[in-house]
Amino acid sequence: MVNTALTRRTALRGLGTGVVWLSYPGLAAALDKKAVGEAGAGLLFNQAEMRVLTMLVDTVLPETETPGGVALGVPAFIDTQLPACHSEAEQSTARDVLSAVATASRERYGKPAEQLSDSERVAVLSTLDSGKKPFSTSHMWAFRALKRLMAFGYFTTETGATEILTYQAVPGGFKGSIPYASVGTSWGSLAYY
Amino acid sequence: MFKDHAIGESSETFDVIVVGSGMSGGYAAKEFCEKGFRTLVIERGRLVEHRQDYVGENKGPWQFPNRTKVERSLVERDYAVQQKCYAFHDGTKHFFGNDAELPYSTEDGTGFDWIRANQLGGKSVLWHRQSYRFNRWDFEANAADGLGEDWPVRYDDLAPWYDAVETFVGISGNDDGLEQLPSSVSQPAFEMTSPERDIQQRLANAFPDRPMIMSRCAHLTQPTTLQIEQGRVRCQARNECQKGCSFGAYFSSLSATLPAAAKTDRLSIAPNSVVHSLIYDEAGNRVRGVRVIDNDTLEPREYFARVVFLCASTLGSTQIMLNSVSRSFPNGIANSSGVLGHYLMDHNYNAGAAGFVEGFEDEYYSGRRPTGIYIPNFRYEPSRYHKDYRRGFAYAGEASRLDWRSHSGDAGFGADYKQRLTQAGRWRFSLLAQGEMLPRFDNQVSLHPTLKDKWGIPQLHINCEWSDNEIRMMEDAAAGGADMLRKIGLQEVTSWMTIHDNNPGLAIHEVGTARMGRNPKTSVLNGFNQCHDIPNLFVTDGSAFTSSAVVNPSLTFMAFTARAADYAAKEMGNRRL
Repeated sequence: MVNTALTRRTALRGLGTGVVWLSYPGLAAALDKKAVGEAGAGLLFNQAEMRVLTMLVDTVLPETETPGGVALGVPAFIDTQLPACHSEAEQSTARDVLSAVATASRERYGKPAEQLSDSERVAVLSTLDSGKKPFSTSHMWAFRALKRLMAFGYFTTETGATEILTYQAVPGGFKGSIPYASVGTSWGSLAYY
Repeated sequence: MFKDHAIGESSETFDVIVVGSGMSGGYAAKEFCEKGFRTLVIERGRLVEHRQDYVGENKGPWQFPNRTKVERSLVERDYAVQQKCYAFHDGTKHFFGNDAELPYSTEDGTGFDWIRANQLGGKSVLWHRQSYRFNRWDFEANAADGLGEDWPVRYDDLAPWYDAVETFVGISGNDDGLEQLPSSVSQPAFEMTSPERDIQQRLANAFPDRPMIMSRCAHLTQPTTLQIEQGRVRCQARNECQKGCSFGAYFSSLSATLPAAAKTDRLSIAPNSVVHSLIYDEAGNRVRGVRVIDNDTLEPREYFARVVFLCASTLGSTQIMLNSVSRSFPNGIANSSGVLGHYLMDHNYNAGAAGFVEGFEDEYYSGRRPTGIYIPNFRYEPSRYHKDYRRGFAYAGEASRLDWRSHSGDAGFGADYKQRLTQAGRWRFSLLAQGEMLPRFDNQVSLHPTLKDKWGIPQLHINCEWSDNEIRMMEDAAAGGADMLRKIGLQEVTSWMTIHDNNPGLAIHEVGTARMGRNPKTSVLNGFNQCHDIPNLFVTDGSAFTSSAVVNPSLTFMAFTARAADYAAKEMGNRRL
């Protein structure tokens, strides 16, 4: 199914920067780390926030033997999903986290979040993930909510659900006991999200 | 296919009008058509064709704009109540009513969440498919403890109709040999997972009077010849039922009863026909048909029949009756008793307990089982009642492995975190209490004195609250559930109670507002769902119930409907109707 609404938004998003953000898996696969520094303004987030968000996604769900969160379009998903389906309070909480990360990067390393080295990113996210200074406990919980949204955005892509996890569109019946090793991953086909 | 049976204006006098096409209406249509009667089904909503109108089916989450979530602005505008239903999402929302178009009010300080499914098939498209018989104590409870009107029927009256309905519908489950949960005519049960089998054993040792069984549900696991001829096949374990199932593997009006009715060529369907009221002939003391407002054009029209079956859902049928006033019945048709609208009940799904099962890391399951395990009500007779409250509750539950939905909010990030999200997690076992709600006169639905809907029909005003009995039952269900799980060795056991957060209505088992009884002064219907006051008017949906009992009601709606149709057919044959 072609998602015309999303396509239109995706196109609109690119108008301000001259860069059309690629939200589809596969198309975006080549971007990865380069994308962190090049993210354009989004629907909800401005350009600076999109760059911080992209850095966070790239650090939480990095490319390994499977594609990273950036390659699967997770930053653009979050930028779309938050205003579409989440409350104003959740949206502003997410912005607060991005702002706190930007501030911490600047104050601690003297540079924008998207320019942090790998080890600097890990240092910042470790303190954020545990609510240690300069972050607060509420930043920690807000970051964990953001991580849940990242995972949701990642595992509900076709690639995430069917290639990274194991997908049964039509299971054909229910078996109560099979060896876990015969599947090897969690099921990517879920009835409710 | 259903469109071939659709009609607009008609001056024909049908044998039977059936108002509503859901669980009860579909069954009434099948029975009357198969018995040779020309039957008109009146449906307030649009036609839905089996298979072709299941627009949410066969889609992965990536094929929805918001990955199956519904846009917040749309939810706030049109689905403020409906979104509270667990089955409401972007793949099913077109089968839920639009709250903005279907207003109702609630008494100050109370709330009621009214879930609607106003299209052909009604809530049979959206139901959770759990199918259990009432037991003999369910029919005797009101008489035994004096709470509520005595049922004018007993288990043995209904048993043959359960047999017939179950055979047609197709129920999967075991013959568990339990007096508290009479066995159904069934097809093979779904399998338990390994931890569930282990828990079943541990519970049998620790709580021998609380057996745990595989649930019974209206899914085909070994379809009969008749079911296969209807195009219904074995359940594929997708557990996406509420999107609609092109396999016809779960029972709905669209997959089973309406096709059976249509096959006779005696079925007509009047879609987009919102029933305003019943046409009543004072002189003859008979209903002659129904007044309808077109759903789209708002134009009025009328349909006529010898007999009318109201199957419009509990609140729907009650609204029609309350709005059918005449000199003889100024407070609603067939309401000489004055109890019409009173004794509204739902089920009380507001407590639970859960814990982790150690081990079984090398075990998994294949497919998405559309049902779970069940611990039938173990307080099913007065001698087994808890000292603090009357009646009882069942637990529904399951053991499954956690996944990224649970793990993604944990501490961590990076390659290890990402890898962890791809793996199945610990086994968690949960129980959800499903409690009986007592019939109380104060829990009432009435017509609002001034507010009307867009069809010019007075809105319903609902005044319904949980009583102390329901609260104490949920307290016990939460604490007792946790106690059971601890005693059988589960880890990190938690329990919860939500009765102070949730309005009645969300179990979507509303019943009781046109109750049966032997005494015309205290009940609306007799033991054949026939109005005491008006012989050719029957009500066979949940409004007929005199108690909610514990089990899911749909199977019993259908058994009563089939029995009432048989009775009405004989009365018509004998020219008494």
